[in-house]
Amino acid sequence: MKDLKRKFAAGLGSFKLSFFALFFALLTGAIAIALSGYSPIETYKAIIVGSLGSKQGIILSLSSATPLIFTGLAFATAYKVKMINIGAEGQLYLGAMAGAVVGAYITGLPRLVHIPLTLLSGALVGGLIGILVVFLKVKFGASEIITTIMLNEIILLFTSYLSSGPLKPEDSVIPQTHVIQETAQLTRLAPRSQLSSAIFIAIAAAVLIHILIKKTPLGYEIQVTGLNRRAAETAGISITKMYLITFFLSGAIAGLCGSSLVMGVNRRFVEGISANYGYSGISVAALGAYNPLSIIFSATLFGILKSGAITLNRTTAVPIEFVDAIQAVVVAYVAAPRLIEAVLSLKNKIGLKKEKSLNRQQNLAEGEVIKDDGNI
Amino acid sequence: MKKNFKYFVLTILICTLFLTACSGGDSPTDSEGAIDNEIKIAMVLGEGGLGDLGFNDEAFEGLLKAAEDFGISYDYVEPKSVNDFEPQLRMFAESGEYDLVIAVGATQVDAVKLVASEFPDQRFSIIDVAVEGYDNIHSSSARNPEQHFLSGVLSGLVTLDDRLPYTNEENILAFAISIDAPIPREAAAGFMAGAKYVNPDVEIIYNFIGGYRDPEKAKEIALTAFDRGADIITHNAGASGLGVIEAARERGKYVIGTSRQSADVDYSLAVSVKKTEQMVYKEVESIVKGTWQAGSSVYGIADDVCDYDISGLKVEIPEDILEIVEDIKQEIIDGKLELPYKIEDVDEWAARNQYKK
Repeated sequence: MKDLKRKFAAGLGSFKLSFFALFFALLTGAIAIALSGYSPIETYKAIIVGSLGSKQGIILSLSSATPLIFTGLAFATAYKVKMINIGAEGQLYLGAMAGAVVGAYITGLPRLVHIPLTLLSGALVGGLIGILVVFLKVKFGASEIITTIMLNEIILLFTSYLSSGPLKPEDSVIPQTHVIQETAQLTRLAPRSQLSSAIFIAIAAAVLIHILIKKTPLGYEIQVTGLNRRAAETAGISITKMYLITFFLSGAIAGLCGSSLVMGVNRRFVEGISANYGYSGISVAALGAYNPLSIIFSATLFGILKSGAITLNRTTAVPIEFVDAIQAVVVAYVAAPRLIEAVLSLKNKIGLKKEKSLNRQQNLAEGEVIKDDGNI
Repeated sequence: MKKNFKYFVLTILICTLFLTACSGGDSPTDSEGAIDNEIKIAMVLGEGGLGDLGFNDEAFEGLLKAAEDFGISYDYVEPKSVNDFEPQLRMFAESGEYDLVIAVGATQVDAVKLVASEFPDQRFSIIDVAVEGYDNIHSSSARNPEQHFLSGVLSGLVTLDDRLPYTNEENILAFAISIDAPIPREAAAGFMAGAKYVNPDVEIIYNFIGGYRDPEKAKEIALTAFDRGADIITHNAGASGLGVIEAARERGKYVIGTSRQSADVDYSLAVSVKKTEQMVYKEVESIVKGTWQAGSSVYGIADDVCDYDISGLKVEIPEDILEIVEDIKQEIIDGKLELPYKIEDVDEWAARNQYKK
């Protein structure tokens, strides 16, 4: 019993939290689907069959997951120093535009040079936006949440101007840029699919960030900054430097997402190239407990939901908005760990002695959490 | 308290299962029509999907009508973003179940071309843009100037007329253009040509809203135009048009939109229609009749795809004005008029072409 108490005192493990958040989200989704008059079982079956039931489905799941690995990672990286980067969407757009320009207008390079150059151009502009945000924060005290949101707007409009004005091909009726050179296109891994080698780049980025944070002295400083800014400052760590490094990386990863979308999926910049990947990245990061390696899995999970939704849309009458709703609810549960703790504690409560249980009930009623109880 | 909560969770679970059981019988697919009928059509709608009271809804309406008339079955999807077009088109093509896959909207061009080259035996139709040079793609599009031309004629006549309550002394019209792109510009050129065809001295103020979902800015542009003396404003800006309508209501002026559903019965003089439903219907019809061919069709007023529409609107337009509009419509049907496609060419065109009764 005491062990159990300790466990609770330590709070939920992040894995357990993510697992239950997902479970409850699916449950909530099922209820919503049922209340709307559709069959939850049929719906979930259609999602699973559609996303995992065939080779094409699995490939679609992976290609849908790729941008989410990037944007989830982008959010998580900034979050390592407790900075919130809502700007992945804008950084992605600018990265995509940079990739489209470098990919289309630089000619005569061998693939081996052109591909990395195009990828890095996206990362660079994304990273520079990150630097700008930190500059505004450190120099003028502007909240990074506000500036990143505002920059999203500015960048979206700017890229929209470029793609409907100066960079638009003559014969095009919609806002887009020229198709990039063959030498800048990422290989598609499977015929008849959008899955490109971008997925390896995404996974490599996640692994590198993981190693950076966990295994290097710089990573240690980043971690300390995230845990306690004052303590880090006292220990002689330059907070500004930490902000700059993490936010540059965060923006660069989002920018990389943009350039890899251009190089692997669309072959050019088109308006609406991001299906809100930047914002979905926040959910992905939260579900992956901001751990770079877990994010690969949480992104894959969202990729499965997304590819399932596409099939769902064809085979059933269920509106695919439910899938969006489920993703949103996941975040709500992840963001409310105490809610899940409270629900889960019900199960363990039953075995406890009555008076203790009563004591706890009182605590709960007063809005306290089990955690505090364990410290008595 | 915790016990209660547990029961609450249990109750929800039971309810879920119960509802699941109840709703299990619901038809799980959109397919309708007889099973013995072989023909099956797939539709990939444009971004935004159904419920836009405009383009997508009209395309779907055409599909529904064709399904009813020909007894075909259909499936459709609503892409969430431009990245979804390709997998969704491919999904339909891959299944091999569909006689025709209809892609709605110009934004799908790249995806349709790519998937069509992957599946040479699958027939595709794309609506609202011209595509040529593929053995398995037929494209249907409208002559953009013709969509707005007759509304232009109507406006050119009405602004001179003092029998209508909301007109003023000035000979000024306005066009709130959606975005600065070739198609919207062609639409505006058609309107201007129409107005100047019957009213050569008319001044037409135009401005670009810059987006299809920006009613606030559209309203500002409309108000400015009214303040400069315009008494009729038209737009081709989808949901932004709601702002234009609001401005017309506020100032008591006339508006001409492009969507019948969002027209205001008291202030809408007419609607410039491009019958997307007709284009979709024709595609399905050609499949049913076996006349479907790869290539490109461009439709206009003569094909009953472009028109002006005053049905259901309360503004009373004098008969003699409508007679002239109908007369000019007939001129177009008879092929007597070739419309300009560029705003810059309108004045020169109007100098050569004037309506003579």
